Amino acid sequence: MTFLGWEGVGLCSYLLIGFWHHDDENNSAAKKAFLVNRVGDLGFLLGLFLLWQIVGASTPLTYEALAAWFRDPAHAALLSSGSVAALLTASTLLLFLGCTGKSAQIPLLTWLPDAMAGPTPVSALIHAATMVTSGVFLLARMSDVFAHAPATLHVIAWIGALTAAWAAITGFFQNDIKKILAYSTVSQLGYMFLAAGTGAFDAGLFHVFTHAFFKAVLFLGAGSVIHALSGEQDVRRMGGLWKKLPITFAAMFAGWYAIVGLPFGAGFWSKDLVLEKVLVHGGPALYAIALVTAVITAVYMTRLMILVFWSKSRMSHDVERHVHESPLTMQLPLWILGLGSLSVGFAWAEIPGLFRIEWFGEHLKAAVGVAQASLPACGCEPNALMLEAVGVGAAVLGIAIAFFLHRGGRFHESSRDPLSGLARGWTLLFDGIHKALVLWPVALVSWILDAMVQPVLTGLVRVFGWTVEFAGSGVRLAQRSRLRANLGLSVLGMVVLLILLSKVIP
Amino acid sequence: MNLHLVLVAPLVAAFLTFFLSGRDPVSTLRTAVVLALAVAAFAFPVLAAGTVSTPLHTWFQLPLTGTTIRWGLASDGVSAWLLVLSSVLVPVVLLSARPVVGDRMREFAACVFLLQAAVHGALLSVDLVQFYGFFEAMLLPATVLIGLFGGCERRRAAALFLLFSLVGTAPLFVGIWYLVTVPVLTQHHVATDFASLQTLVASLPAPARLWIFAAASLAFLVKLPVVPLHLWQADAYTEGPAPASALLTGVMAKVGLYGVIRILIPLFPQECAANSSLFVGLGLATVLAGALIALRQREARRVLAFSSLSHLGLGLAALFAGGVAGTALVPRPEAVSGVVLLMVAHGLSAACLFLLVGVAETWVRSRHVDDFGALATRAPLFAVLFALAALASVGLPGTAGFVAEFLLLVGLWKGAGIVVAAIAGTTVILSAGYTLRLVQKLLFGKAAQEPHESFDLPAGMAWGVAPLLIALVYFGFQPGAVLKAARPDLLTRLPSAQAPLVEDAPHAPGR
Repeated sequence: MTFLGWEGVGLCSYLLIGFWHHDDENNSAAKKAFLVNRVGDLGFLLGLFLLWQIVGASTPLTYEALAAWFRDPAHAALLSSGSVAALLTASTLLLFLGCTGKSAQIPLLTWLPDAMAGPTPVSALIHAATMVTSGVFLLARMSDVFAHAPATLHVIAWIGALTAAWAAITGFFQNDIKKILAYSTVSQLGYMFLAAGTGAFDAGLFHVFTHAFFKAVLFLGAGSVIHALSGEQDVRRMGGLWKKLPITFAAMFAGWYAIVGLPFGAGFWSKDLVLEKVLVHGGPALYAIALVTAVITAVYMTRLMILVFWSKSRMSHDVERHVHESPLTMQLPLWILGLGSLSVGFAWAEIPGLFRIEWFGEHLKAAVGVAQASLPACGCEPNALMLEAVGVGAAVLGIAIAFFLHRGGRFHESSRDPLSGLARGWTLLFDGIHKALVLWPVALVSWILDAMVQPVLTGLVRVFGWTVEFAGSGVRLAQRSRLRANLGLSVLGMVVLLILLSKVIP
Repeated sequence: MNLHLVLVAPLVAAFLTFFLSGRDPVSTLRTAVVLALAVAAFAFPVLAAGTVSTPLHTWFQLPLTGTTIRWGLASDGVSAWLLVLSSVLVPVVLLSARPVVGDRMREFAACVFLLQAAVHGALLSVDLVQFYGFFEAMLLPATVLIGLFGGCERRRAAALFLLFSLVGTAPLFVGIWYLVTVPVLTQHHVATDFASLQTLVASLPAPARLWIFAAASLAFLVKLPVVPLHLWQADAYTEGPAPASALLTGVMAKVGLYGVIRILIPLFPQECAANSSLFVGLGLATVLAGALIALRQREARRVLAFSSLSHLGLGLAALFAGGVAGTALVPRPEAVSGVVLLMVAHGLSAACLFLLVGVAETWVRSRHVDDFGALATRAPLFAVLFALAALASVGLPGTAGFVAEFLLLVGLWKGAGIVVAAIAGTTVILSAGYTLRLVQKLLFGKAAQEPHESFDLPAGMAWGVAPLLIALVYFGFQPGAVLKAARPDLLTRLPSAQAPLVEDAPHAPGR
């Protein structure tokens, strides 16, 4: 009995482990990341408990055992009963809370952009491209469990869609190049959750896969730009760099090409796959949000490219003199990842009538196939080609909007502070919500405990002490009398004791 | 007589330190550390031996009532782990004490050994009177440690500690007095070893049992402590010397929890079950209040004090989760394993934190968190050790604290439901909050004073603290090492001598 659940620890510790390479410069951000993730962890833990309650203590909490349990037809009747279904919904929602913490989704998304502010682009990349996707990974691994909780999937899809849209809009208002990419990451993660929420776990994972490539090249490219500009991160003070940093530009162009979803880039295939599955399984409302988000994505990414590479230089003279291309060691990964951004999408690509590659999806069948097949679909078979066209249209529209907004070299540089105006408002929205709902109440209660309850308790102890002292001094008065009286009292006491004892003891 | 060695060795060490070593603090330190290691050498075999005991003797008989007070020593997984914990902490505490206690090393080391002897005695006792004697004997060296070596308010803190402890244990003394005078009323022979007591307590009238139960609870809960009996703690841990705080929270407070597991629950299973919600409530209140108050403390060691409060409260709550009135309380196995692991994990991590903060206080000559700062650059080795200890304290996965917290939360969930587990679980968030705040204030930010001195952690201290941290990580990956020794079926069983009584002359009670 002692060791029951060690597998369970293995399961959750993979999510929890390794959260301490944050303390680079910005340790407040590190603290925030840690705390926000702890909130998610607690949700995850409680969700795990509830799941355990459903499957029984004898089932080890490994992915395989859970999948087998939920696939077992003998448990179908149990799972469809009202109370167990409610328990499962609660459990999966709590597990999902853990995922939102780790993958920076609404409502626990505030830590990621902050964590990006301090560290180097490389560590930002580690967080952005790999660690944060563990939430999506978890959903996919536990797809059999989540498939039995349609209400939770619905919530996940909506959270994903809203996060994608919100982060994309926020990204548009950012001026720090790394923050733009950070919000872009949150937004793309939203896509992944949207896919998983509509039951398309494989599409979500495919987007994880392609996103890793193009986000990596974007982050490394951004690092190269920052390096070249002696540490400048504000995109409003860049510009015209495509001539000076041609290799960085080429690599970031590949990343941009992929993320906005222009034809045959990596993001084109994966995002369109997500959009298609969302339309089939999720319905038009979610599809509309996802499509609008695709437009906004194209807008803010194009804005980034315009401000950094295409517009006229707005660098200070000093910085401009020192601009230099990165050394070969930094270029090589850029080349590889840039090529990857353009090509890896073909792992799962289809143009109806022309060709069809399902290599990536086939490999996921064993893990998520059963769960996916059990979910309802609209039954329609949309025209893939038309959807792809719509996706590309969204990208082109977004690019056009971005160029229109910045036509003739228009840039709003109202303030030197990279976090000013709308950038601040959008960024801090959820910070404010957290503060009002959690931090302030906690601070208030702890203030009450520390500043009011503690002194009251101390006062009570004092009163107790005074009472004892008072009683003591009263007794002392009695003690202060004569020796004779004391002796008399002692003798009296002995007599009483003896009488008592002789009564009790024969 | 292995067990007697474990008990006597620290006593001998205390005398040797006091009478043999000269006034020179450095040589005293060396002597004391060697002696402490020798004591540890006696304690480790006990762990390896598993369940062992010495024969039970009649120690003495109370005149008039004829009550037999017995003497015997017994150890199993739980006591052995706590013995090892104390034996490991004492040398490290001594190694770290130099900067804090200065020239009075001799007195300090002697007090530490006396405290250790009392703790060992309490952990090995098989007789209630014997246990009570050692339990009270802890007070004297502890008070002296606080009152003699502490900060400017040390006298007040020592007095507060002493008064709280005495007021807490006085009712237990009355309870024991009642128990030993039972023969006067019932004409039966009474012995106070735990095995005999169990039948005696079970035969008592319910109200009397309830009163004794309340008295024993009070004694242990003050020692633990729980809210609202915790007022002595922050002052004692802050005003006392930091190495003593490490020992008090690392070892002495654990004896309170040990008493709950090994004495309170087995002797009074009915009362424990009937009042289980009260205890779970007290535990939860301690967890939450401790954590919330820790968030607001301005002195580093006060943060640590309330952190200890909060962590140990979780253990108490988990032990009592799931009691149903009218039945005997059987703590959940997860909870019991979790508590043992918690005692080891918290003992190690809290001691490390107190010791490290103690030496940092001597550097900046302040206890206020704002007066530290930038120690990450000014004392890199310190920073690494402190950050590790802090992470172990918040229960990062891969450290023993994580496994302990996980097991305790499982126990709470199974015993008392998901809501209670969720409330207790907030400690996971809050503890990260106050601990990381402390880390941030101490290690990062700007140094309060100019010029930016850099500081060297004494090498001996680094060598002392590092193994503790390694142990925390080791038990994080291999908790079985602790959990196996502390098998749940061994726990919540009265410590008793296995060997048959050597002599047991049943005296006719009374005259």
